[in-house]
Amino acid sequence: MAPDPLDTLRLPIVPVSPRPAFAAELRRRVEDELGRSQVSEESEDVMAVDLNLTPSVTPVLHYDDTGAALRWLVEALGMTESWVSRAPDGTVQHAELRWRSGFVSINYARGEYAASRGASVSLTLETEAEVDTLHERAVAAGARIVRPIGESGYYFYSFSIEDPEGNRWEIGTDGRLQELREQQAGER
Amino acid sequence: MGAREERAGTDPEGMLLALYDQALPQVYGYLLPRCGNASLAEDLTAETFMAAVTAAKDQNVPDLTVAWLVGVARHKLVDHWRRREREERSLGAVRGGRNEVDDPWDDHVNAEQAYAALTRLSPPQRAALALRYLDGLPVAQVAEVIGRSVRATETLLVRARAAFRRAYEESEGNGA
Repeated sequence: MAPDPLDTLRLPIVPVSPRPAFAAELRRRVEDELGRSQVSEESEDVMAVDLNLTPSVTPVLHYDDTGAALRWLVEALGMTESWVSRAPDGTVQHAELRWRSGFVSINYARGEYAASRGASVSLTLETEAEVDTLHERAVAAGARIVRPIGESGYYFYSFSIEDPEGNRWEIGTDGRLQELREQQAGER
Repeated sequence: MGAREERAGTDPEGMLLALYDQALPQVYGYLLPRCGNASLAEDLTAETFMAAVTAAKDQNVPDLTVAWLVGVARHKLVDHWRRREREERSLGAVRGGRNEVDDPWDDHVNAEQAYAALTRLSPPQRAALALRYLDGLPVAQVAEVIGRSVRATETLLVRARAAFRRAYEESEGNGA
């Protein structure tokens, strides 16, 4: 039998990654449908109970694909997803992963964090007055201000500086913690 | 903790999530060149995974692998072509059905031109040829996926090849 010329049309599967926003949104739909999203809600409750154990210094890592980074840290290191903030399209913007008594945060390297790479450190303060005081002190010491004081992301009131060798520090109140504190105070 | 991890390894729902990152580019990579447009490929990719979720929840997955998911994607693609067929029918479009000769040709087929010609066929003809030649499925399996008998599929393939050849040669005639 003569070879079929149409046999040359074979189209083997070449893996193609779809748009990250689509991939994230579909993953969220799959998780929701499987009822897995309840897991992260549970861990948020756990957090509320451990309010006083929340570290006030946290390393922050910046990624282009925060969703993939989150899964990698869970799978490769066995960290526990403790809190995830997603954009309406399902993209992970910010997440916290628990490691024993500590946390590491991951951030989307976009928008105001577009230039952020590698690690920075987050310092959490309780009140806006404390933030103002530390801001004055850092400015007086000649810190380079990367982001002026104001509201940003999950920090309610914060600023961002670089130390003399270019390490980035995020300093502010943690809006979520503030909400939880107010909630707990209200329940008492 | 340990219990949950063990469970994730054996239950289809956990396995589906674990497979997601690996399977997504394969499913999308299968659909994209066959759909020819990204938004349709995204829609069918989403349909594929949501169907997989339903099957996993019903414990109705024989073998949860990337190959199985690509098989689901293939069905979704055929379903899409079926919907197109119904739409075209209701619009009264008539295509194909002219002299159905199937002369073997020995020229070399230009792949890009061939894929373009495929998109101009009627949906059932396109589906049959895509499954048979792009996916390389044997006729019996093509028949299974499109839900026709082997004989009907053979007939469809003969007509589809003739229609394909006309579409291909028209594009050649147009100096493509």
